[in-house]
Order: sequence, then C-alpha cells, then structure tokens
Amino acid sequence: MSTWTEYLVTDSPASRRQAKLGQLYRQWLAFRRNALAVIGLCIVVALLLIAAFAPLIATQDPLLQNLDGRLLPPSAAHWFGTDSLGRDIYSRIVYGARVTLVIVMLVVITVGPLGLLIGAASGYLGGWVDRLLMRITDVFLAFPRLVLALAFVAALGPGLENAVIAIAFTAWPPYARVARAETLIIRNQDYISAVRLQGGSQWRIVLRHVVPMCLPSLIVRTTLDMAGIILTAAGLGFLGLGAQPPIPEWGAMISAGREQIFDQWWVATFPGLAICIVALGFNLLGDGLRDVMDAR
Amino acid sequence: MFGLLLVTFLIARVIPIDPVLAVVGDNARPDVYEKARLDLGLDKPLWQQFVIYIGKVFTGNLGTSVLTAQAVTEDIKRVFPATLELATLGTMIGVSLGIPLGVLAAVYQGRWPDQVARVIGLFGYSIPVFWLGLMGLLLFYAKLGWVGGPGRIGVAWQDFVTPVTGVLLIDAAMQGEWEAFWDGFSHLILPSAVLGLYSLAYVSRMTRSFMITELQQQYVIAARVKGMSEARVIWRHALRNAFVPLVTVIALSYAHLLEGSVLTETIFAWPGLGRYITNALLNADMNAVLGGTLVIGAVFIGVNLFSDILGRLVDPRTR
Amino acid sequence: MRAPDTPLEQPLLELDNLRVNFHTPTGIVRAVRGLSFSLGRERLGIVGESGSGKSMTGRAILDLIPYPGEVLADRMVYRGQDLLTMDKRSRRKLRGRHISMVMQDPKYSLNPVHTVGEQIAEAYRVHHKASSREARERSLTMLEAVQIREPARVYELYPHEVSGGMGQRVMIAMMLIAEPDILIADEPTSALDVTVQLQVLKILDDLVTSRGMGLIFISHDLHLVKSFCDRVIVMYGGKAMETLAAGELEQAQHPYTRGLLGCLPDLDHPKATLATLNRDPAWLA
Repeated sequence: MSTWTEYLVTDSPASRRQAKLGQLYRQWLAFRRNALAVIGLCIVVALLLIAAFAPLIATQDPLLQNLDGRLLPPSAAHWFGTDSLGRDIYSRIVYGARVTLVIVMLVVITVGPLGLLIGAASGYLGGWVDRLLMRITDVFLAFPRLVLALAFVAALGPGLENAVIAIAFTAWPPYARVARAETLIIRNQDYISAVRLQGGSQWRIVLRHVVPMCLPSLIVRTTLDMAGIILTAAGLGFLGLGAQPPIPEWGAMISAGREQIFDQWWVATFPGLAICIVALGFNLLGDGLRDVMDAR
Repeated sequence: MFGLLLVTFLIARVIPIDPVLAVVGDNARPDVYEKARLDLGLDKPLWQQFVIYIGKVFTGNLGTSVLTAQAVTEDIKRVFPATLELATLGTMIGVSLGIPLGVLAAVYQGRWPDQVARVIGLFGYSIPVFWLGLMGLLLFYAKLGWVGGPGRIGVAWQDFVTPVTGVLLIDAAMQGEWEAFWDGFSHLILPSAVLGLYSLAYVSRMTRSFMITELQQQYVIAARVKGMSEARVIWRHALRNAFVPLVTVIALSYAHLLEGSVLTETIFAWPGLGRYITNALLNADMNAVLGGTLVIGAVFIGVNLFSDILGRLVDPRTR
Repeated sequence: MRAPDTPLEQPLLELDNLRVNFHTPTGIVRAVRGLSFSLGRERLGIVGESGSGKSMTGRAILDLIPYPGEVLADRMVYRGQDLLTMDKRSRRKLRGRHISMVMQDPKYSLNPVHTVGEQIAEAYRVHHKASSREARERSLTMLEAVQIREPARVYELYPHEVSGGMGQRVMIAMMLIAEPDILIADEPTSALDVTVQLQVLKILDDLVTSRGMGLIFISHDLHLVKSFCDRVIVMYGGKAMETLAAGELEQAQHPYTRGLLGCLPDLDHPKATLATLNRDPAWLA
C-alpha cells in the first residue's frame, strides 16, 4: 500500500502514466478534504446504484395499479404511500432514477461534444467562422432556456425523446463559450505551433491537442449543469411535456400529486425530495470538482 | 433581436401542427382551407414570409390568439404586469437577503458561515421551483394559514381595484384600498419568496466571489489604517466596489425570474405571462406561445442592455 | 507600567522580540523572527529585500496581520500603553489617530468609487466628532499642507483622475489628518516617477519634522534611506542584521549590509560587473 502511495506522490515520475496518475491522486486528496463535495459524490454514486439495481431495491412493480389501495398514506407496506392509481410511490421513485439518468445522459452526450466542437472550432479557426458561430451562440443565449425548450417541445410534440432534444438544443451554447475561451488561450501556446510546424493538420490539432486541454473545465461545467438539466426535465415533465404516463418521471409525478396536495401531501412531496437530493448531489460534486480542477 | 425573431419564426415553421387547421377547424371544406392558407400567406416563399413576419412584429402585431380570440399583443399587455410584480418582489427578496449572505461568506471565507452560505446557495440551485411552491402552499397556506392561497387576490376583493398600471399593489395603494393591498400582498409574498430563493442563491454566490476579490485590495487595508470600524470597511468601502459588477448579476437574475415565473405561475394560478404561455402551449395556440416567447426574449435582451448602462453609472471610472 | 503622560524623551514605541508567524497547511511561515527596536521622535529606516519582513513589521504594529497570521512579542509598548494586552477595539482607535501608515501605490490604496476628498474627510471623522462641513474644511487645509494648489477642485476628484504623485500626496493628507504621533511609510515613493519622488519625500519630511512625529521609513532603496533617515535597521529573512546611524552606513560591519552596498552601481568608481549578494544561512540561526 505504502509503495503505491510512494509511486503516486513521487516528485520525479518515470513515465507519463505515472505523472498522470500522480496528478489524479493529488487532486483526489484535495477533493477528499472537502466534506460537502464527498457528500455530493456519495449522492451521485447512490443514484447510479439505485438506477442499476432498481428491480432489487423497489418493493413493487412501479406500474402495478391497485384501485382498492388508492392514495394510502405512508406505511410499512408502502413507505412513501400510494398515488391516485394505487401505485407504490417508493417503487416509482426508484425506477424514476433510471428515467432521470437516461435524460441526463442523453443530453450530456449530445451537448458535450457538440458544444466542445463548436467552441473549439470557433476559437481555433477564428475569422468569419468564429463570428458566425458565436453570433448563433449569442442568439441561443439570449433566450431564457426553459421558455425556449418549451417552445421547442410545443413544436415537436410532447414526449421523452423530444424533451431531450429540446433541452439539448438549448443547453449547448454555454459549453461552446467555455470551450472557445479555453481554446483561445491554448491556441497561442508554443506547443501548438510546434505541432503545426511538424505538419499537423487543422483538424488533428483541434481534436488531438485543443479538445483534450478544454476537458477539465468542461467536465466541471457539465457536472454543475446536470442539476440544471434535471430541473428543466422535471419542469417539462411537470407541465406534461416530458415523459408521458405511465413512465415514472419525477416531475410528472409531482404534477400528478398536485391535485391532492392539501389532503394527500405525500404524493407530490417525495418525488420532489428525490429531485432536490439528486440535483443537490450534482451541484455539490461540481462545486467540489471546480475547487480542485480549475483553481480560479 | 434579429436572431430572436428568426428563431421564433423557424419554430413556427417546423411545427407539425398545421396553422391553417387551427384557424378553420378540422372539418373545413377544401376551398375554405385554401382561402385561409392564402390569407395566412403560406403560399409565398419562406424568406418572404419571414419579412412579412418581421414587419408585423415591428408594428406590434403578433397575431391573434386562438384561445382568447384576442390580439396576442393585447393579451400580453394585460398579463405582463402581474409577472412583473412577481419578478420584482422576488428580486427584491433575493437581493436583500443574498447580498448580506454573500458578504458574510466572503468575510468568513473558509469558515462555517461560508459553508452555510454555500449550502443555502446550492439548495437554491437544486430545488425545483414548482415543487417548492407546492410545499409552500401546503405549509404556509393550508396548514398555518399565514398567507393567501393561489391567485392574485382573494375572491372578496375580486375586481375591487380598477387596473391603472396593471400592477395590483400599486393600483391598490394609489386608490387607498389598503385592505385589498394587504390581501394582494398576502397572495404575492409566497410565490415571490419561492422565486426569490433562486435569485438569493445566485446573488449570494456572486457577491461572495466579488467581495473576496475586493477585500484583498490595498484600499481596504488603507481604510483599516485610518481606524475605520470593520463594519464600515466592509459595507462602505468593499461592498460599494463589489456593487459595480453586482449590478449586472442582479439584472441577470431578474431576467431569470421572468423565466422561473413560467412554472411558478402555473402552481399559484397567477394570471401572468408565464401561465399565459403554458396555457397556450397546452392548447397548441402557437401565436400566443411565440408571442410570449418573443416578449420574454426581448425583455432578456433589454435587461442586459440596461444593466450595462447602469453598471457604467455606478462606476465613476466609466462615468 | 508607566503613566500615560510620558515625558518626551521617552520612546514613542518599543518593540522587543517581535515575531510574525503564518500557519499554513504546509507548515509555519516565519515572516518576522525576533525584531527589537525603539522609536523616538526620529526618522528610522528599515531596509531589506522583498520578503525580508519589513512590511510585516509595519502591519504588526498596526494590528493588521491577516487571518492565518499571528503576532508575538515580549514587549510592544506605545507611549506607555501595552499593545499586547490591548483589545481589538482599542487597537483600532489607535490606528490613524496615533499610528498611521502611508502605503506604496496610491493607484490601489485609494478607494476608486469615493472621491479623494470624501476619503480624507472620513479619516478625520472617524476620530473626531465633527460636522461634515468642519471635516471638509479640515481636509482642504490638509490638502494645502501637502501642497495641492486647488484643494477645492481636487477634493471632488476620483482617484483615477489624479496623477500618481498627487495621489500619494492625497494619501499623506489622509493619513496625517488625524495628527498621529507615528507614521509608517511603506515604500511610499517606489510606485512613483523619479521626478516626483523627491517632491513627495520633501513634503513628507517637512510634515514629519514640523509636527515632531516619529517616522518608520520602510524601503528597499539604500541610497534613499541613507539620505533620508537618522537611523537604519538592515533586515534579512525576518531578522535585524544590524542597526546603524545613517551616516555610518558606509562603515557597516555586517557582511550582508556590505553585500547590499556592493550591489549598488557607483558612477564615480565604475565596476565591470556588480557584485551579487552572498547569503549565509548562519545569519538566521
């Protein structure tokens, strides 16, 4: 064990991999000192586990209706009570973790590369490409995100896929901005000139040298953004424009519980708590990562 | 602004909902349908339609709402003050609590008040407003009875106050209807507090980071050398400087509250722009949706410009 | 403990074994490690390289060492009042009114969003119950005292509207308006153009002499200190290497002082290469 630590913290790493691992290890040490960030990490890991093992964790089928057991308060059989169709809220929340995760993942895998590429290309190529791309970005930034997403969903029709597309469409501009700013800094560094002198093509430089350098700040940005994505998705779900019933989506569940909020408080309360905790987890994690990764 | 129009225009064009059907109904005869199509100008090339669209927008014509059968411009004029009222009080709550919290966090950087402020801020970013609104109603209205319920004013005072500015509290105060004023206030306070939490989170985080920068400046040490109390050093010297970039932040958060109002108004049955848009949305009333979106986008841009100007005014270096 | 009405021959400030430590995650940084001196109504110079602890000494006297730092001393007495046992509030009341400081760069040490006049008047009103008009009158008089020609006009200016030399004169006015007994001048002229340096120094000297104040003049500039001060403390690594009368600086014994003097170019006796400083770790033992 101690030889591992020595290997990691040595001042004179023997290989690139050792240097890389050593740096990661030091960042991990710094991260571990931040209690709030560790809590965030735990929440996110818990979310992943719950989503992965949902069938084992849930006590019932989330879609199983029981009209005799409608709107039951929390009890030993139904920990969070039942909804207006007699479905077990606890199980629905557990399965809802999957829905949330799917939305977040889909948005991130579309938005991250898209924003990164637009930003890096814009910053690296400069000139009219830069002006055009940034003008488009500005237009999207000028719109409030939720309202724009609403308009998109209205145009495309409600549903999970369309919600994802709408969110992705409104979420990329900040990424492009961050990537462009980073690229502008990196572009004028000497090692980029060195690659150029060796005859590296534009695309090679952008993909192999510029993009990797932008990654840390984008990772931080993404983590912080995930909370926002979750909230937007829940908002769309709440308005009935996201995942359609009977899919157990947390926002839609709150919406379903809205009618009974004064009498059967549990129907809307628990899904909301779930959103809160998960969003908070991503925020705490992102906040901690920011302290560690880009010390501004 | 041009881009804004282009986006709303394109959204309107890509929707699978046929705008002609919305006008003439599902069972219209083909010749009626064709006439309506020509009336709407849909036979012309896309760019020409766009030019016509811009022309209409600049003359204040956003089309007619299918839902209310009125001009969208008129509808928006009617509902916008309610949203403005909500967002303004929300911002006031957020700023009046967020700045002190941020200052406190900066002064005790890295110690427990900083951690508390950080957690409060992150909570503000993590709670869905529509859920918080529901919980607020459940607790403060249903259980405790401290505040008014959904809607803008109680049934007893409905139509009691003649709209002049459209902002209910100002109208009530001007007409000396103090009971109506307080009833309106009790309906307003909860939704604006819910909105204010987001603003609080944003403002306090930014205040903290600006204050940390300012507190490291030499002039702060100079003020201490003069023998000024720490409170005066912080509030009069450092915060006055941090306020310069804060103006932009406050303006941005104000614009964001307009956005947040879309969900909040739905919860509180608040007759504002947000609920107008969502209602229109659920009824495929595209003119109303796009008109509302356009107005919010325009306000966004306007607020940004305004904050630039204001920022110059509070900074003697750029005055 | 002495009575507060100490006779004039008594020193204004006595320091014995002053230490300033910063507790950082990687260990304790010792900025000042045992400095002793006493100050009368005289001009005392403290010279040293950057990082020698000279600025921290000034801050420690004013109780302005920031949070992770701590100030220790065997004795720290201002006109018979023990500074070590005094509470924070009383220390603050001493600042500006009894001990004051002129800082390096007026560009950063004047608050950009208040007019210079407001800042001077404020320094007066912290310590004196005065109407705003009285404070204004006082400030205008003080601006005249630092030889500003149109005080009423300058009063209304913002810091970015005044030149460096004028800014530093404003700074001096601000720090002297409450008539302190001790002025700490921390590199007061090193951010200024050479042409205005002498002018500012002259004003500083006149005011200090005519008011019979004690001056602690912190600088890295040996020549300046030699010509401007009565006595010089040479600091290195947080310790005093030696204390000399300014006139005897050329006869300094300590190898560090000799080294510093050797680094200075001399037009009358040009050298092919300037000497580099040799630092001996044993000096800090």
